[in-house]
Amino acid sequence: MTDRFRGRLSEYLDGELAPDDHRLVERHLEGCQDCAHTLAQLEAVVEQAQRLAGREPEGDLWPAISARLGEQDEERLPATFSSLVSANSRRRISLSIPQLAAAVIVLASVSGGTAWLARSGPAIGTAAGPGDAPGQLVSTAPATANSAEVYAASIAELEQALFDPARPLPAQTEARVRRALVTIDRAIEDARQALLEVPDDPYLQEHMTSTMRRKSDFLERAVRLAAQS
Amino acid sequence: MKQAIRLTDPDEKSSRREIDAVDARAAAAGDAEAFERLYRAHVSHVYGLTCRLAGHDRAEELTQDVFVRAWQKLHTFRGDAAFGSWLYRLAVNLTYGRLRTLGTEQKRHVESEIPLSRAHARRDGTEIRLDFDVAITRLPNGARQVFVLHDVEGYKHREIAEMVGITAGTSKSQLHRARMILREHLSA
Repeated sequence: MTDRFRGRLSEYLDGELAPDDHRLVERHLEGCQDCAHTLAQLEAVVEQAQRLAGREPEGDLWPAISARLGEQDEERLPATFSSLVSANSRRRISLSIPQLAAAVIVLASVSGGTAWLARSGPAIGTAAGPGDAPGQLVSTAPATANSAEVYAASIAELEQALFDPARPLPAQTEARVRRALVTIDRAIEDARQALLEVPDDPYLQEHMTSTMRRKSDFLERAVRLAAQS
Repeated sequence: MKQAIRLTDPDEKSSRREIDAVDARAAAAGDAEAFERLYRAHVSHVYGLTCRLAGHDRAEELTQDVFVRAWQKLHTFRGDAAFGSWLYRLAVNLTYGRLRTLGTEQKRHVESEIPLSRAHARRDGTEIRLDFDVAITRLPNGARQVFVLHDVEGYKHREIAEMVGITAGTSKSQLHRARMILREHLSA
């Protein structure tokens, strides 16, 4: 009755049979060439499996993973700063909240990204940003070299406030904020490249606008959180 | 399909574990470069594992998801076990969760009944291992998963039972089934 033993050869091989059963199979193997041969084949299978290595993906997956980590950091900004809050730090940001609100309004007034893309490009109107309040300036001004410069200057001011060497953020917080910014900058660059190819595409123009605003919103929230901590 | 090198030297494994532990602590504190080093050290294993469990077409997405999830959960890694063990367990759990969500178990079960005779073995070192990998993907679903988890990944039957949602007895039975099919492949 070879089948009765063949069905237990894997357990025998793995040493998972009870001692009595193990001895029974062992005795059977001494007189059954078929089962002994099958056991040798099973051993070869296990050996092959144990020698299997990992596999390399066809492309490098890290850039996509890294971008997703940055998006997570962006979404979880309050949690990123929670350590500052819990530590009851006395850290303060030099940029006052009214100044910050004004900066955000300026950022929101920057048209589409066409100004960012090509300083003599066509005008694109834009809606109010999150920092706008009733009665405040909401610009539909044309994209000009000036608006691009204002945007860049305002972003630089926010970054300077956030990464003030005199009041350093904890390393972990700073790393996460910087990684989120890298992700946003990559999105801005992608949008810019796409607009270079199709400058008149309304979807791409809107995408550029929203991506640039995403950066200003993110920086504004980060500066506010840092100021509150 | 490229294959990575498997660490078999105990000293190398120990050294890897120590390096990983340092990087895991740094990554948990927000160090993305340390996390990239962990990615570089383990991506081939994770990718191979997801390929064998869920198929080549889902492996890249699953591998990305595994590392993103690992980043989220790094604070729960206490360092009692090797980082690799922690990561691969996470990969198995995430892969099974995804397969259940996608409802692909039954589909893969049907697809995987392709005869192994199509995956002829060649007898020259790496080639035979690659073909062996192909043969694994063509095993019946349940047998393939248990075989990968037990013989390739080294999990015990009780662990597999818990991860897959079967009994330890079923796990043993499926393992024997897989080995019996694969022995014919190696004998071809």
